[in-house]
Amino acid sequence: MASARSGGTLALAGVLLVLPLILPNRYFLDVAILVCFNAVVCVGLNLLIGYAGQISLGHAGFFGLGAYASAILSGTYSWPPLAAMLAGALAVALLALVVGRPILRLKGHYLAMATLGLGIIISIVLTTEDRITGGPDGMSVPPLDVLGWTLSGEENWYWLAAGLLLLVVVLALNLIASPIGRAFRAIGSAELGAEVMGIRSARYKLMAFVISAVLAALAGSLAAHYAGFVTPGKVGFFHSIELVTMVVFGGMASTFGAVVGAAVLTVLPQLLTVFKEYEIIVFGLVLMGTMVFMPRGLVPTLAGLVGRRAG
Amino acid sequence: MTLLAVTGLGKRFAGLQAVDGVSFAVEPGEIYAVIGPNGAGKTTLLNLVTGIYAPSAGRVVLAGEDVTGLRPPDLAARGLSRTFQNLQIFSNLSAVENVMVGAHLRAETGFFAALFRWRGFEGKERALRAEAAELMRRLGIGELADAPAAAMPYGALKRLEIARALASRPRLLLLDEPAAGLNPSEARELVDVVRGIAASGVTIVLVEHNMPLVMAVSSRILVLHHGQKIAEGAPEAIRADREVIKAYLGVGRHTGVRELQDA
Ligand SMILES: Nc1ncnc2c1ncn2[C@@H]1O[C@H](COP(=O)(O)OP(=O)(O)OP(=O)(O)O)[C@@H](O)[C@H]1O
Ligand SMILES: [Mg+2]
Repeated sequence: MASARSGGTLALAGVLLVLPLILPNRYFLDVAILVCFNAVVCVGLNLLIGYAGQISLGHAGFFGLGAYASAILSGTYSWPPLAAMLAGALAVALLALVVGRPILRLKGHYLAMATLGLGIIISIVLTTEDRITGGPDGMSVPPLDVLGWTLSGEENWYWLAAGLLLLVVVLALNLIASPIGRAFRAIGSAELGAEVMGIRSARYKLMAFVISAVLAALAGSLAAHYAGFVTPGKVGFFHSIELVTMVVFGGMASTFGAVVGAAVLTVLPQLLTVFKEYEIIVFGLVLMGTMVFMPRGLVPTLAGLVGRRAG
Repeated sequence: MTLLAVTGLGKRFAGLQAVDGVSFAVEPGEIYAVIGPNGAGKTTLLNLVTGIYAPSAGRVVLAGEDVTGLRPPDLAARGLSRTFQNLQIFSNLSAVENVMVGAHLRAETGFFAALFRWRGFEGKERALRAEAAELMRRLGIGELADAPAAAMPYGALKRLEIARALASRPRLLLLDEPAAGLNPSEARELVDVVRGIAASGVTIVLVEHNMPLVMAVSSRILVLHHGQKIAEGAPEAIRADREVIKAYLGVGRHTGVRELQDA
């Protein structure tokens, strides 16, 4: 178990290190940065969906709140970007805490609907409050400036994004292998059994919800600074579905699965630019195909095949 | 002092009185059995005592404290644990991790200690894992420690639930049909398992259809029928009780009166 974990982390670190050397041009580096940001969101979302067994169809909302907090606070109000980012993360943590408490009592479809509603409300607020957010046109975001030093260039952004992803993966793996992670997983597979063993399931569900929301907000902040621009496009319902599809396709309850899912489904639409209009259909097909042909997701299914062959 | 005192406990489901004014008391160190035909209300009774259902009438007092209506985690914190008739296994954990979850209340660490593996975190986890593996050995499933729970055979899962419940170091352990689904030799081994647990100082409430097991280990037996207590007493007295025989004759095969008499 421990060796599989450190082996996987080393492999991920290796890939992230080698990637900039083998990618042919800046365009690919740009995609790799997006992969890292999405993967950070997915690793967090996987704690909630894959491990604790609670669905969320609203996480693009948290991503968007992080992005807009950075845009508004560091742009309109000229806050230091780092402070804006932390304020955004804190605000999202509070929101997730307050909203999560009632809605995480719901189960299954009801929880899906409630989180869907939450995401839609956030998206509508960001779109309609156009004096603050620029409305559907979006708004520009100042560069990421830390203590007078400005992060620029794809290479530097890549190292930041890759470093963050690696850190998040290591911390997520630590958490999963701790009593907290075992509580998540216990709730995800037999909530009644977990409660009888002394696990306050409401508290742990809330913890997973807040962690995943904060990671989404952080990724949103960074993505906004990187792009230099935010629009409501990445805040809406479709992006929430994209994120869930990444988690499900990569493999629920598999942290590396979340990374692989984010990578494949971030790269795929880039390859299929001709089908841009049909992107949502592609995601729909991937989601359906995964549920039918490999419900455990890509990485757990492959690991199972390899394990069986190995003996 | 009486460990568990239940008075006038009742549970009504839409149109069905599943448990009806049941009272009994379990003394420390006892193995107290609850028997009765299918649908008698045995599992519902355990669900009431362990806080899974709120009772519609009556009180549950644990070691002198009124715990009526408390939630399962609160009762776990007060030394109550149980197993389930229809297993509640954590199928996405390994076997030994299932048992470690049983020790959750002792294992809980701070968020940052878990995130960064600080302050003796590793040592604590190792000790916990060793303790869980030892419990599995005690229950004869030591070799399955690292198996994914999802891949374990049914009989082993039943033992895994007992090990998990013991990991919480309960004062009172409630077992819901531990012998169900086991083959005869596995069921016979359970006699020693249950006695061993009691000998280690854990009081046991045993819900069971397997009469040889019940007769071999229990100090006293409570008989439920249609949610009501129809008899209570020592095994020999219960075996000869007219009401009990009538209740079992009424339901026929599954838990027949023959088993009751032969045991
Ligand atoms: N959640 C519930 N909702 C409605 N009815 C229930 C519920 N749980 C149990 N019952 C009913 O209550 C009665 C008692 O059920 P219970 O499971 O307690 O019986 P039991 O004695 O454990 O039986 P068995 O020996 O078959 O396990 C049954 O008629 C059952 O159908
Ligand atoms: Mg039952």
